[in-house]
Amino acid sequence: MTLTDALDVLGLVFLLLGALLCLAAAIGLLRFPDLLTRMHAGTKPQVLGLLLVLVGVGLRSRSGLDVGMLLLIGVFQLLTIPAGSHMVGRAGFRTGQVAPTDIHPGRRDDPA
Amino acid sequence: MSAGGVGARDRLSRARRRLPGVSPAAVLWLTAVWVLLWGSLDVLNVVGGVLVALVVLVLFPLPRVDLRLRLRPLAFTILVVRFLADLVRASVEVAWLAVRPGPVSRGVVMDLELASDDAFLQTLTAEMVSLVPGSVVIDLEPGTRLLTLHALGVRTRAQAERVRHKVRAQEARVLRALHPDPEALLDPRRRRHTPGAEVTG
Repeated sequence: MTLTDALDVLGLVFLLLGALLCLAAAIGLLRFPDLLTRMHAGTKPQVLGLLLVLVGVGLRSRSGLDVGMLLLIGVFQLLTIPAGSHMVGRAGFRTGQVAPTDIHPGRRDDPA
Repeated sequence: MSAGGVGARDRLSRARRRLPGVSPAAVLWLTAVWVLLWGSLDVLNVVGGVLVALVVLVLFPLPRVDLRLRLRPLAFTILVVRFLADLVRASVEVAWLAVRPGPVSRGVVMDLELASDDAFLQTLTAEMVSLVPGSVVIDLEPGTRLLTLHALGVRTRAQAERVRHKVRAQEARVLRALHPDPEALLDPRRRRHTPGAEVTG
């Protein structure tokens, strides 16, 4: 098995893992009960799933500028997904769509 | 030679005054993004990229951000490596919670106070907190430094306390990597103004 084959196989493994995580994220969006728990599914497995797919594609393409483009997609994904989920969560929170604060752990220096 | 250099610098500074929002680093970055998006490095792409970068920076000027940061390589490496590990763990955990049989888990909304006043470091902390296990940021008020977040799978006060501790640790890693004087904020004996500290009992 040559190096190219090994990289191809590794790329396929990454693609598969990434696709599975995206599937889990989609299932989470369907199964979780409310807006904020759904944001968990929409941010974490989704981001890592996409990053793994990008790594998989990068391992199979290996042209410098293509890898740069994939890197760019990854960076913007990491930057925009938390901001997007934050906006959705805040909109729901401020319009009273979700329960108000259940736990106020208090101030930093609160001994309780 | 030197006269030409002075002339060029003069022209550059005059152009600067006329276009206050256009920084060379921003032009370089936007051009790089443009070339990467086209996927090939040739003269047309580079020239087009510079033109697009200038148009973008003139038409959509960003507010000036006053960055007083100091990058510590070791602490920054710790921050990045720990973040990647946390990202993987969070993804696997949430993916498992999504697909496991049985009742689905819920969470609580909680808030806590950040240590830093710096808007950039607060933003960075909030972004990272959204991607690490257990928490999604809902709201952040820069003035009061109050971070509201949703914690998944939390039921008891002790678990909430653990999430709060994790978020503090995340912020501490960010501060140690980038803040000029992290211990001034993190060391309880050196914190200068602590709202609520004077309220006792």
